[in-house]
Amino acid sequence: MPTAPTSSSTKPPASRWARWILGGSCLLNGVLAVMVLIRGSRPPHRLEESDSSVTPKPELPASTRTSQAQPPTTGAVVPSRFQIWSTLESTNLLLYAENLRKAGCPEKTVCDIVVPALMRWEADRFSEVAIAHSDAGSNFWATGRRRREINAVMHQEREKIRIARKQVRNSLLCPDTEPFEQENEQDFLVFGFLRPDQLQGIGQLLAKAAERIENWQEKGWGVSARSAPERARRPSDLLQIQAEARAFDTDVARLMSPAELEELKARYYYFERSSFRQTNSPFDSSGISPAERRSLTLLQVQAEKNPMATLNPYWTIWDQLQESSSDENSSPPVDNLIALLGPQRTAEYLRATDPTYYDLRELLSARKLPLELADAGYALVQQSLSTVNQLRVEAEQDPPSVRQGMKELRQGLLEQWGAMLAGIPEDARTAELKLWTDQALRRAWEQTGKGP
Amino acid sequence: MKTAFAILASLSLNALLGVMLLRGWSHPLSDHPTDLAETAPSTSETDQTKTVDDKPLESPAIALPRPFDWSQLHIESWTTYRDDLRSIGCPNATIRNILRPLIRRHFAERRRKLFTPWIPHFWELGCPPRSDWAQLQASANTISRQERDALQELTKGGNGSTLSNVLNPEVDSQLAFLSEDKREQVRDILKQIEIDRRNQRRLAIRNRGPNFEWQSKAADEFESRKESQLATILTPEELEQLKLRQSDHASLRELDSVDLSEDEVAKIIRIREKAQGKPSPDASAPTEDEQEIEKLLGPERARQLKLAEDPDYQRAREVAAYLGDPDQKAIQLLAIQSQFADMGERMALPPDGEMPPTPEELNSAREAIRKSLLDQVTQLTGDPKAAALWEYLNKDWLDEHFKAPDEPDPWDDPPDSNP
Repeated sequence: MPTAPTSSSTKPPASRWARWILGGSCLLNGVLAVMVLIRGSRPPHRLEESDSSVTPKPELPASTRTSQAQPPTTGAVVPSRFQIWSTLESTNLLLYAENLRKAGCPEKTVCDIVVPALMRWEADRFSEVAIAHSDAGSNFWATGRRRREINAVMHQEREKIRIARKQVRNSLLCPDTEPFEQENEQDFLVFGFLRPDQLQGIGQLLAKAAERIENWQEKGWGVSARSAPERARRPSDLLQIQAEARAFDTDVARLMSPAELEELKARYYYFERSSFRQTNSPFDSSGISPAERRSLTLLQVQAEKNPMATLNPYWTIWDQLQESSSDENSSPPVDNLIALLGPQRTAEYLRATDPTYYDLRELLSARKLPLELADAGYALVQQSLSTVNQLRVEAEQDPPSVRQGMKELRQGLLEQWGAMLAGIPEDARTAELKLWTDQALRRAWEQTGKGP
Repeated sequence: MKTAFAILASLSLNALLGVMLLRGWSHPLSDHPTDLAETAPSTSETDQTKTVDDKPLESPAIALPRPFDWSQLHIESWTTYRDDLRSIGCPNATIRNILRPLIRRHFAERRRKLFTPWIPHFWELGCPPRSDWAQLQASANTISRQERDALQELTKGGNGSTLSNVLNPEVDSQLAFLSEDKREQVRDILKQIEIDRRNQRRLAIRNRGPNFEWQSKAADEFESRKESQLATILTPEELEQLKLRQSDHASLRELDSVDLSEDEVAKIIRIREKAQGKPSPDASAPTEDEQEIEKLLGPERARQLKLAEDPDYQRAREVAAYLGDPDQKAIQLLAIQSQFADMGERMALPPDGEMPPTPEELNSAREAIRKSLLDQVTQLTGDPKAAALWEYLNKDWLDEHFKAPDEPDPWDDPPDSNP
């Protein structure tokens, strides 16, 4: 009887192949499983850096970290959903940015996340330096030589932190120069007529100026002694700041044609100064055309030393820059005004821009009183101007009699103005309204003293 | 048959493990910052902002495949974006940083749509009838309000968004001497008191407008509440130290040109606290606190303290520090300054019987003195740039001393005139 084959040699070759395939596949499974496990066990990010530079390394501020716990180093391949952020986040901010990028986070969002974290890091380190060197223990009360030593150490430490921050900032690949982002009504209405490349140019100039100003502020310019106790201001810095500030204005002008610059100045000045807010006087509502409004603004701009002073960011560290634009109302030459508006409307314009008149209108408007009272009150003061002029001429000859004359004039004005205000209910602000004639008279006296 | 199943299962496992490994390689969590420049973002911001809308959407719970990719977040609306970010453990401060620019850009776009048609008509807006401008401004205000509300709404309920900036940054340094535990407790008390103070003030403004009497009374009440609450946490010594550090006179510690011991500083602060608000009977005589400080330090060191606190001296010292001989040169600069200030004052008060100068005369004479002063500073410092720094630092001082004084009101009784 034939028996069943028992020897392996009798096994069909197909079965042997199947075993080899199975064995190889199992071996491969093992290798792959080990590789997957190794990958899963790698920490998602490194906390420590091999770089041991002198400068401190920016680390994510503790207060913004999701968890203070160390990230998992072994075990779970995939974090739970709530732990995902902690796998992206790193105390190394460059790595944080890189992890976000690798996770597909849009570039702008990466910068929106990491740049504030970097600023916060710097602020926290500054605070730590202050606490370590100046605020803790008896150092808080150190004066004299010890205070100078503490300030010097703090200055050095802060410099290191600043350098580290700048290094990271430069490595983040976040753009330093943003295009001119139009956000508010002024951006659109004042700058909106310029081409995109001109707006970008202004944006770049502003960004460059911001960077330079930051540099000067770090050297103590334009900041309080408390923020920069160990100042490093040098006289040559001042000359450099002044040169840069002037160059900013020149560079802005270079971006556009003279006509465009004139338009920009007019719009800027109109929006900033005379503005849309202040124009409720009879002159403004008496039917001025857009072309006249523009021409009138251009006359005002020509009378100003620096009509766009606040556009130049250097005023924050060199306050004289802003002062070059007069705080007082600079009025264009009357002849030019008459040529534009005619004599009667020029008179209306001059009244509308006279603080004596518009202050009174504001006072009345705030109390919801008839605005016609402003016209009457102003006329009253105007009538007394000839008396003020006459008294001013006599002032050098006989000061006591002038004083007496002014007292009488004041009394008379107060009585007449009081009669005009009769019937107005008394309240806390009535006194202010009543005393308006005093302010008007004082202004008239000062004006006459300034000569023709 | 069994073998076939085993092979199939094993090969499937091969494939699965292979896919897992490959996906892991395609999205590695990098630890090589040098790869930064080579990595392109998978979604452009433009694409993202295009799809973001401010209308809330109900989003299904996200089932996250591995590994995490930003595209798994629902960015269709700010609320779903915020919720998804929260669900992956993103801290609220970071969510705020992510959403704020998106919200800002979105509302900037709305403003662009509102204002762009008016750009060519700018000068028309400034002319009557001004209803167009009023309407534009009302719409712009509405957009600003909505923007503020959107940000507040989206980030409310997070960690400390409203309380974080309540306290003055100096509080950190004032509390630095306390243990961490006590520091936190004190900070909580100070925060709560500050919030209550602000709320009460807001209420007072709404109701009747705060006046000096109210402010003073409220300040006293908050001060005593603060003290009693702090006393439950701090020892008397700690409380006293905190009071000193929070005193208006604590800036004494910043003086770097006079050496005072910690004990002396504390005593001077207490002396000044006690004398605060007390008027001096005679303007020319030393005040009570000055006398006490002189007793404490002795005449010479009291004089040094006075000099160190003089802002004119501090500025002179900064210029002198650059010249390498701070103390000596600063005193010389101060002497020149004081001499010229006297000259400026004397000009306005001519000798008896002489006519006072006219404002024009006064101005030109002062300008001449000012120039002469700057020449002397240049001479002393030996460097026109140092003189320029001195002028920069002393701008207010120069304006105060070398500009024509305000004329007295002509109806006021002049102090020295004959009746």
